[in-house]
Amino acid sequence: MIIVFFIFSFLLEGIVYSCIETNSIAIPLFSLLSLVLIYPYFNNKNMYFITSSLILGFFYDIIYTNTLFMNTFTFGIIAILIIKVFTYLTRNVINTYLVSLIVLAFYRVVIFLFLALIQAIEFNLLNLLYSITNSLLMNTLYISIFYFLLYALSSKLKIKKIR
Amino acid sequence: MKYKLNKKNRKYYILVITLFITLLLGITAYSIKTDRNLTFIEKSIRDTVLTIGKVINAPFKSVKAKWEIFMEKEDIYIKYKNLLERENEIGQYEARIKELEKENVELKQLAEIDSSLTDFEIINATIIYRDNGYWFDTLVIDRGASSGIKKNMAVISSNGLVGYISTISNFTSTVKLLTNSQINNKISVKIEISKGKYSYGLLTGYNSDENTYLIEGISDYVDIPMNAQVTTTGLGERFPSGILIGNVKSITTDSFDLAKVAYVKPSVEMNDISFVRVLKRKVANK
Repeated sequence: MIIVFFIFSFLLEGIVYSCIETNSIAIPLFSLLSLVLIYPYFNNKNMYFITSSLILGFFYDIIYTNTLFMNTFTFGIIAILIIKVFTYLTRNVINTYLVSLIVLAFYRVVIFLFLALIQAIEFNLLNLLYSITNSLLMNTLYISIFYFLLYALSSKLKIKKIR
Repeated sequence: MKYKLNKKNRKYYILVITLFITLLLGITAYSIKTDRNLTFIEKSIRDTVLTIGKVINAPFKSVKAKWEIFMEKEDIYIKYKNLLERENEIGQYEARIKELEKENVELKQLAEIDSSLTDFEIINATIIYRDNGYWFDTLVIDRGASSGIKKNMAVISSNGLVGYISTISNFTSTVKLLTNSQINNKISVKIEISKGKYSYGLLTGYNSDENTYLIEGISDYVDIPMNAQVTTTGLGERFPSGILIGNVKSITTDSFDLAKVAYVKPSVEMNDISFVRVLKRKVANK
């Protein structure tokens, strides 16, 4: 189920992105947020989770951004962040929204700093703010739908997850 | 002793992390700023995933196209009336084009020129999707090395110049758009100041806030009319001559007051392209 969900989110992001304008207020980041949703189903196998994140980030680099290792590294760091945050929070829908917001903002800030440092983009904090706010709508919808879907699926298929 | 060891380890870790991040920044800068050749692994992954993505995306694109047609229905009658008015002129243009083509062939034969700056072959392509980087203005098309695509080939749409091929795999290619801030090399352009008369400049950048290209180095002694057409000159290796870039929106002078600077509205709506054409340029080797 984990691999299927990763692949599904990865492809769904491409589909949604091709249907929207680049300056839209509904920019998807489903591949990244799938890490937040799927973490409980790894059952504390943190090394597998980090490895999966690195692989997902690598594919994201090659397919969606044509960069080398930028997203691989960032996805790995975010995996560690998710593990650390969920040590202190219980896994319910409100906390999932909160962690998704943290992860989204962290991702945008890291990528923004990366690109600003190599002068690929202008260092404009307003653009950073827009990039975060423009990602909220679609990703909130994604979390809302797939959190409950995964919960229902795991109950039906009797898949273990950490609480 | 233990405290000293821990302090040493901490310094060591900081050094390793700093070196790692520096290396990562270097690799990222290299991958973004240069039009590098993709490795075999990248090409294989890209071709496989994008081909699958293209198949899965097809029904959604079809639905999107039908929705756009439905939304445009109201404008169709107005467009139809405008087209009817222009229909009478088409016959004249066709006759004139045939005459010019015949004249062009004869002149080339006389001058013993095999090809000119306007000659090119066309490869049609569909846009699979746009890169997700948020800041990268690039497209991915469904033609690659197997279709004869090579790096730096010009890419156009029905409205004008879109960009150029930056990276290729076997079945897909990445098009770097003219609006991309990472676009290397200036593009030589000409502005039509009157019929048959041009002023020359260099397209050096794009302003995303105002959606205008920046053209610099235009002679200060020339009057540029508003809405003048801007096209490529064909000089340089990348773009053939005569491809529309846009229309002049406003003119100012540069900071030294030595040359004019033109702001050009793009002829192509970059958010609304589905099909493009890749131009394979023929240039005389003599």
